[in-house]
Amino acid sequence: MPGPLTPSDWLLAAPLLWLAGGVVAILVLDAFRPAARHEAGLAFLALLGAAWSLWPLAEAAGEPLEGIPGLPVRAFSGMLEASPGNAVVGLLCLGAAALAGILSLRSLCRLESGRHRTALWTLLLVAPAGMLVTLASSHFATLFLGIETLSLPLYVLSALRRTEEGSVEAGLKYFLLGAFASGFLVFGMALLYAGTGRMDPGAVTAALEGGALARAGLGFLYAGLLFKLAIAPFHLWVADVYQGAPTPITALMAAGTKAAAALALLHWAPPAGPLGSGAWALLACATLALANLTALNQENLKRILALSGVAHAGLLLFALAALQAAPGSGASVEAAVNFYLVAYGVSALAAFGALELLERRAGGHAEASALRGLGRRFPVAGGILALAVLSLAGIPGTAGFLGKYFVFAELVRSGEVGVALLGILLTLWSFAYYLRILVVLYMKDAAPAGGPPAVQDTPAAVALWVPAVLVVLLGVWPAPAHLL
Amino acid sequence: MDAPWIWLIPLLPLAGAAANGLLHARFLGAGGGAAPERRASWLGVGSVALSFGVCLAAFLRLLALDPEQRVLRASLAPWISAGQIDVAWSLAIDPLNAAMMLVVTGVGALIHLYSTGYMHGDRGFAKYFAYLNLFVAMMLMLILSDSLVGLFLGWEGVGLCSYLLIGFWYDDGEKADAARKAFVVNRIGDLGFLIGMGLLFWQTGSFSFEAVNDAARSGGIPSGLATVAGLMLFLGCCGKSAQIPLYVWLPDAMAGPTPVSALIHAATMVTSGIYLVARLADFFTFAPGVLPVIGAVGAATALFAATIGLAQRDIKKVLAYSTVSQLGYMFLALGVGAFGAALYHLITHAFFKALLFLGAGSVIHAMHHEQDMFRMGGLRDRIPVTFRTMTVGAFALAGVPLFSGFFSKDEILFLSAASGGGGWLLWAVGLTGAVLTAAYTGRLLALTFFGGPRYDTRKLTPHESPASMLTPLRVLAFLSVAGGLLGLPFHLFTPLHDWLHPVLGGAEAAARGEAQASAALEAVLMLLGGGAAVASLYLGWKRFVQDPGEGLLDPRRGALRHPAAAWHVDAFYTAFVVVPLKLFAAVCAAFDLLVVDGAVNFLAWRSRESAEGVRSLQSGGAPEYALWMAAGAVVLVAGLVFGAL
Repeated sequence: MPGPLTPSDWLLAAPLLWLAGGVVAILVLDAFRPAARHEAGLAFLALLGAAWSLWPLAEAAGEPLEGIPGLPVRAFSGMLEASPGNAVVGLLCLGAAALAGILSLRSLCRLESGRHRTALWTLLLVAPAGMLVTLASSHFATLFLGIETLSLPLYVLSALRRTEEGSVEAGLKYFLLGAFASGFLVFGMALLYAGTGRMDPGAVTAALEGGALARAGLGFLYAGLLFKLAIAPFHLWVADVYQGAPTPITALMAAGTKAAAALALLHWAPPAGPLGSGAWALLACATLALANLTALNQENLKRILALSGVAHAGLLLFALAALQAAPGSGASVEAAVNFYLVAYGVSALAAFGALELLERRAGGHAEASALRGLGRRFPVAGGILALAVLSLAGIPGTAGFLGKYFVFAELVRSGEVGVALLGILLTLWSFAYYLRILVVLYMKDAAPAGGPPAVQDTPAAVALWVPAVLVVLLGVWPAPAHLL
Repeated sequence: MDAPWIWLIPLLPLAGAAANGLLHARFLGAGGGAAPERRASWLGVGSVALSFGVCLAAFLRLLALDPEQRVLRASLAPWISAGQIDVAWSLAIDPLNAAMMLVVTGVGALIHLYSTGYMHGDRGFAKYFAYLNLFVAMMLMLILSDSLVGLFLGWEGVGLCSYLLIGFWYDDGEKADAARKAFVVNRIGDLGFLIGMGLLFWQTGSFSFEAVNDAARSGGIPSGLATVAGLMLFLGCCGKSAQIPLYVWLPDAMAGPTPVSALIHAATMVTSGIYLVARLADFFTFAPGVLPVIGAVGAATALFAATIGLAQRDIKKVLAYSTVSQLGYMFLALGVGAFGAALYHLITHAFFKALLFLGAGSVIHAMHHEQDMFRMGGLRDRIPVTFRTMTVGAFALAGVPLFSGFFSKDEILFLSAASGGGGWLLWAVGLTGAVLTAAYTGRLLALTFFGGPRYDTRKLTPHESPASMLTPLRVLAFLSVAGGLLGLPFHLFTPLHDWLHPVLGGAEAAARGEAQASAALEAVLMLLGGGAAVASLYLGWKRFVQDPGEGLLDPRRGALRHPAAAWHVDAFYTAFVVVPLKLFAAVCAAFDLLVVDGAVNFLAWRSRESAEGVRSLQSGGAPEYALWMAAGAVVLVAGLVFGAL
């Protein structure tokens, strides 16, 4: 039984230790020497350290690491399992937290004279730790731990602007529905264990061969996971929560939570064959259609981008459909999913980040009427938002296009050409609201400047270039993130 | 042999274009001024002159090589590599395009120099030089490239520059229309070019000229297909080199600044078609039936355009139709397999037609932008240098013995007559055209420089142009005389033919076969041609010195009313091509607006309607959301338990 830690254990534990260490250090420091600068510095140091310790795995494309047997790396007696592609997505989660932090430096950190900053920085470290555990989970215990660890900080962070009704509502709504979903998750795990006696991904296969009890458990498990991924009909919370939460936190949720939940679902997806691809394709189409339809008439840009995130999650399910339809396509589907998550992640980070900057100029509003014409007045933030929107829409030359392409290519390769065509048509539909954002930004006369003048936020403006450049770079050179 | 430095030839003007473009952007709105003009002039003239220097070096390098091995190659990088297609950025200079590049950069440099005077004070001075430099770069790409793809790049590039420069004064609607017309008519030809190129690639698997020529020589291209491909390529030439039926854009292209007319629409770009046929001489020779078509079209164009040239009032229009006509002679030469003679005439024509256009520019400059010859007259004392140099150019064009045009045109006519078959017919048509050419040249001189002034002498005192404009005139006048030395008759002294022989000799021998002619025949024809030209030039001059004959052009009663209206070809095209196309376009537009847009708008409207319905799902109430989640979970569980999924 539990012996000394192996190199594999250390490899996967190291990022978590960095993050946890950061949390402890910030809390201790806060007790003795409260200073905003030190806390932010420690938080970024911890994120950087986590990324640094995750880097070797991300870089190890196809080559086993020294002293560690084989890929994917299995750690803690198989409770965690991560491939290089997973590590790239992990880096995305860390980057999302870092960007959320940078975007908060001049806004959330100063909220109510900065009294929430300790909470902010610690929670910004805990959430990515939860994401890392979730996306590598291969045991019920780690899955549940990961999901709860990533969710609880986000409930709090969503409600950080506690004087604003929307923010509080977002936090509460997210918490209530999240608790409900966790209930499904735990209940599903319990039934699965009762029915199959297993707690690893093998339980899924066993359940499909087993009795009603285990199968019901599987249904509940998926209900819980689909909630985190925001698949119809478990997606209704997204628009309200994304809109109400402070925008930096929304960016973290969009890029990080979605990526972690998607990889978890992929880990726990049934093997090819018994379940068939129809259910996944149906869920994907329903989600795409509903999200696109709902987004059409929205007036709030944050809400539109939130629904765009739902649509993207739906599109991801096509990859699962491909996996079901073509046995043996696991590796290439996983590569497609990893790339898709990174592509969507950087696009969403750029979009929400730029929106945050524009929002501040518009007196904190993200309504179309408040933001109109701002693209011309603030060319950098406007340009990055426009670029991100083009990527989300899937215009060739951007990462978003290749992400969609890889997923649909998997679908076509698995023989589901009809489903692929339907999916492409449904995504075309989404252009209606993406282009509307561009129209709002560039083709309307500017609204009169409202509210107090915004603080010049150089760090955020500089940091936003990173996802923006990645959107273009991955659009023309996808190899680095298109890993197994 | 490898000579990477020849890339400098197109890249220098390209760099000049970029620098001038930046200069233009920098001084945009500054309203010109002397300093930016000087800089733009140095950049513009300097880059082309340097390029000419490199061309000379390349020429000397070639000269030092063994005649059969005269080729310089330079490959820069791969360009398109997809499946079978493998095209590189590579140039190859052999005697044929060496001759062309010297003309392009040499005459080009002179015209750039001239432009510094002509365009002085124009708001778009730097922009003008940016376009002109870009044109030279593209033209060099066209002639130096070693494959059809590279040539096509240049082909489209010069077309673009032509469009930009014709419409250089784009705020004048007529000029902008002329630019569009040139572009659209050229696109028709380009379509033919593309089809021909595609067919050749399909058959030979390569875009390189050598591969195509080799395949044609070894019979690797089926003859029917070769004919179609050849005719398609020739259609492209008809567009670019203004031959029947696509010549209509060139007269209108005179809307551009006059140096542009001289460089692009007389000396260089419009000869691209000649170059293409000569470049693929082997292919055209072995494509059955194509050369006769080229010859016939060329002869017809030569005569047809000459008649129109006789009845124009605009000095530049006379020269434009004259260009169309002279290009016709070059195609006539190509058609009878006299590729070398075509090149010879191309070069002399570049000299004397550039001279004539630049002279016309000097006249127009002196007359404050008056182009109507009936509003000129008696200018020979006012602008003596222009008069003298233009007279040299006119003599060369008319074919007065000992001037360069005499030798080159005479060679074409003689070789047509000696080509057997319908050769005599071609000769007769060509000679008639030559007589008309001399006549309209005499008319041009008479109306412009002789007689009394027909302008308001109180308002306008014509003055001679600055030295920057006169120097090119003098140099070109010299070349218009000396150019004859490139190929004297009776095989006396033929440096150009000897130079081109390694490239074109094989094709000429194959195309002309046994056609041999005696020196006696050559002498007779030469006397006949020379005599007719001189007589016609004199008669034309005499007739119009006495009476300008404005009434002849009267649209109702004038004797020359039909040629004055260009034989109503434009009206014909408008009625039978443009109007039906516009009608068709209107129908398409209506279909698009009603059916296509209607369907799209209907979908959009339906989407918005359903979106309103779906939005009610998003009520904001957490209990409702939870209910939907529960329902979803129930469906999932039920589906899994009862095996429906």
